[in-house]
Amino acid sequence: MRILRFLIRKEFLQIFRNKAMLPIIFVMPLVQLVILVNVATFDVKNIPVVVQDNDGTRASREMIQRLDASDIIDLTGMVTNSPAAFDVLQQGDARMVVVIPNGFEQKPELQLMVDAVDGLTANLAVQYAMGTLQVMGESRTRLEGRYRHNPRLDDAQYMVPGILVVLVTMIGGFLSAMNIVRERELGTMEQLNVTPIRKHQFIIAKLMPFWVIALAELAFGLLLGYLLFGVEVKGSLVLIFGAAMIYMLAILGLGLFISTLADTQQQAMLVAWFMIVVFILMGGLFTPVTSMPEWAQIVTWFNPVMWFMDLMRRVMLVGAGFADVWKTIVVLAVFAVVLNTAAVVRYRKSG
Amino acid sequence: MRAFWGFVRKEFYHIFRDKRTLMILFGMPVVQLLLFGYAIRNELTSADLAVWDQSNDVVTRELTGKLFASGTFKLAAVIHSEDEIEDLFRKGIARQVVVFGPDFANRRARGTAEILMITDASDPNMAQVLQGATQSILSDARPTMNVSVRMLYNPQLKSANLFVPGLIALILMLVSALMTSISITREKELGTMETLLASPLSPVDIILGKVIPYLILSLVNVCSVLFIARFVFDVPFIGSITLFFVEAFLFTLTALALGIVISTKAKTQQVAMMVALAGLLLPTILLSGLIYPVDNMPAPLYALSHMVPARWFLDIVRGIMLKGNGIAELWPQTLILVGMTVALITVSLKNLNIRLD
Repeated sequence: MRILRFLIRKEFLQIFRNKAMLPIIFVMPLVQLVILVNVATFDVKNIPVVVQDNDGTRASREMIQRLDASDIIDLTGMVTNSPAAFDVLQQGDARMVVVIPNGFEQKPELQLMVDAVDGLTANLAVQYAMGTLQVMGESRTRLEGRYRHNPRLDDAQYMVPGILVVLVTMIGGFLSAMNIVRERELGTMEQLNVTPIRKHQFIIAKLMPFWVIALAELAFGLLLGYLLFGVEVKGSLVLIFGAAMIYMLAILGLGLFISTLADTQQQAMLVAWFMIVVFILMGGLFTPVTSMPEWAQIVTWFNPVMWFMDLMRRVMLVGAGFADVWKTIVVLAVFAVVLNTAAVVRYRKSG
Repeated sequence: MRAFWGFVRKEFYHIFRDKRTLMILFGMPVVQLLLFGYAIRNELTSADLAVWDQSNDVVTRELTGKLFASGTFKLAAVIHSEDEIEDLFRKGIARQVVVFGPDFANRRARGTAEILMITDASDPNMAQVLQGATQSILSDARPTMNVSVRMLYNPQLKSANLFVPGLIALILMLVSALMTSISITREKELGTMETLLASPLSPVDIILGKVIPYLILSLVNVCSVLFIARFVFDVPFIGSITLFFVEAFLFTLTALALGIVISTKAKTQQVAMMVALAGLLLPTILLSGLIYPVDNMPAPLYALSHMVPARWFLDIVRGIMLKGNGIAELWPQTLILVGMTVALITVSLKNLNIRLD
């Protein structure tokens, strides 16, 4: 035990002595939270729209006025003929051209030409335009929509839990792998091997600090999320940290596993980069898992990030309790056991 | 000159000898493109929807059938009381509950029927799309005039057409900038830079020799990525392929120059990696319009996005592939990339102080 204590202290000292580490631990969450939260929206505001008015009557001018008065649609100009309209779209100067055909006053009809490179925003833009132009009649059925858990549709509420997951994953999976490979690359591993330190002591001492740092980072991130964006935790904090402790064991196992795959830091970095990018993009941080094709959704079951992100979002935003998420916690525990076993088995061979 | 080509050859050997790095260099882009091309989608497909049908008559059953016929929604649960809604959301079983009011058929005849959509808005983007889609299926409002909508450039609204060209930028950025910055920093960290400096090669030669192999490898990657985009994802390629390769070459140069700038600053591989991570990967994914449209960003971030090379390259790639743009439309973006490359190379030459401490 004494050896282990000294080893852990040594690791902590080394980590905190490294000047690059402190900014990574404290500045990175801040930057990521601020940028991601502000960027992450598919919603469209200020859609640049150009009008081609072939009619030039009072009725067509009324349509143009409606567009002009809209907050969402940004009437940027007029064109007089179709080639010019296509040009505007080709150049990307406008997202949509509203064509008011000749004879609009007698027989009202409209044509919307939309730059649909981005399909989702194109759809939203058409919805907004139809609303602004008031072309839909009364519905006989009253359709009412209600949003629960985030009635103001605040993107920050959704992004903050996801970003926190990414942060702790990077620290646990990434930095821990680098830390071990560094010893190997610089040759200090051999020195450690000839000391009476046992393998398991070495592994625990290497991983333990990152476990602690990642959990501290989670607390720091939750605090930032609350102070900067007013993201509150609806569920239980104990549940979040309990689940995070198990999740971090899985991720540290992953870090250890990555370290056994690499001899140099360059290799470790590349493997870790690759894995992290895959985990994040396949974890539902940016695009919902439910939009993926069936087989890709099944692939995400093998992604611990997906499970923990789902858990964090449900506990933080919807207020899920242990009864609602216990299955996810079991899955995380399985990940922890499997990854650590695999890593330790491989580690002996390569050590 | 012979010494220089010898050095380039040595760099190639280094890369090709290291099987793992090689696999990453060529395998990673292919795997990433395949994975993300399929995984990064924001279309609404088979979203979990629950139904609470309070009247359960002919009309509501027909409407329910209509909801699930399109493949947009998938029936996750049928519920019978208000209390069950929260439980569905907490367990993550359904994202939205559609509630048909009581006595629906009769009330509809009188025009007072009610449908309520209750949506778990913890994902606000999705929540909006869900309600929009539900509304367009269930609403019986008729338009007052005929509106024809023409979706240009991507008529089926496939998100692969949006994201796959974007991923080309991400992959080029990763391979070129990350690999060069690490490979140069590695020489510094391991101390072999001293050996190189003592050789008759000038520092500029050393950097060029480091960069040329990655430039060639990146162009090979461009080809394989383009092949997958065309034949696996069916992404159209309307514009000129020559122009595409010229622009890809230019963007690779920009990325390599960025990598050199990072390596002149960083002392250890760890630092180089972290800078590349914070300075390249995140902006390339987030501030370039790869996933989220640039137009919606708040002003400071919108301004910042202009500094991200990938933003301009994305315009170019999507323009060439989907819109059939030529240089007549794309010269501003091209000019900006040229400017960035020149600026980055100038900066790196200024900082190129690989002297011994």
